[in-house]
Amino acid sequence: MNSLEFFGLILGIFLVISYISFVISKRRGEAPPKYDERQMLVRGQAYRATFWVLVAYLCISGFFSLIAGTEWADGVTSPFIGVCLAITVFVVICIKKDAYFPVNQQPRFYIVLFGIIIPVNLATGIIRLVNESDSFFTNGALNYNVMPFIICVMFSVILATLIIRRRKDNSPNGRVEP
Amino acid sequence: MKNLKLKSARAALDMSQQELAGRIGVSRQTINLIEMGDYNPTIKLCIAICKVLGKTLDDLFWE
Repeated sequence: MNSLEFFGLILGIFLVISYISFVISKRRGEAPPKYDERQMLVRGQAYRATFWVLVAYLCISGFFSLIAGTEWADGVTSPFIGVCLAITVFVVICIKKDAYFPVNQQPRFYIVLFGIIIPVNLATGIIRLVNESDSFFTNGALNYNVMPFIICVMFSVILATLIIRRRKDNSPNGRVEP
Repeated sequence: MKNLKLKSARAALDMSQQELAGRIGVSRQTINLIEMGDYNPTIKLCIAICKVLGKTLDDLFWE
């Protein structure tokens, strides 16, 4: 890790801590997010599915490394992909079954946020590859250069699910009114 | 099986799914799924719905 990457890491950590502090201070005194009974049930089912997906991923990943005799991804990238996969499964199930957002919370802010995260990560990944002439592989194993693209894919899937769900909700068939 | 009694009771009060959901404290989709017969609410939620619509449990949820 060179000095520029180290600076980027420190800046990233600082931004995340700042954002969390801001959110906590803003939400202090407010009621916590409220999910209704059906949403709680769906979220429980989603957590269970996420758990099994993560178990399957770790088994397949370990098995592949065992057969190949070498790691297919480095020590940071492999668990990172697993975490992203698990998060994606959880969020997609929750969004599909309308249990991701608490009662009375609108998803518009998150659609905009995800819409910003995707191009930023895509640009970061491309700039890193172009500037450093680096590849995705180090000694035959996936390296951390792939992370921005993984994040990009994860948020693209989540955003697409969110938009499809929103369209379905707003369509005449999705909104059953008197 | 669709819960047409709930739907008609709500419609009789000229109340939308969103309004009913807001007064009970659940999402609109939950009300939609109950009316479509795709979700079985707990007794607690049934009572909350009955109170808002001014009906009894028998009126809305007993077949």
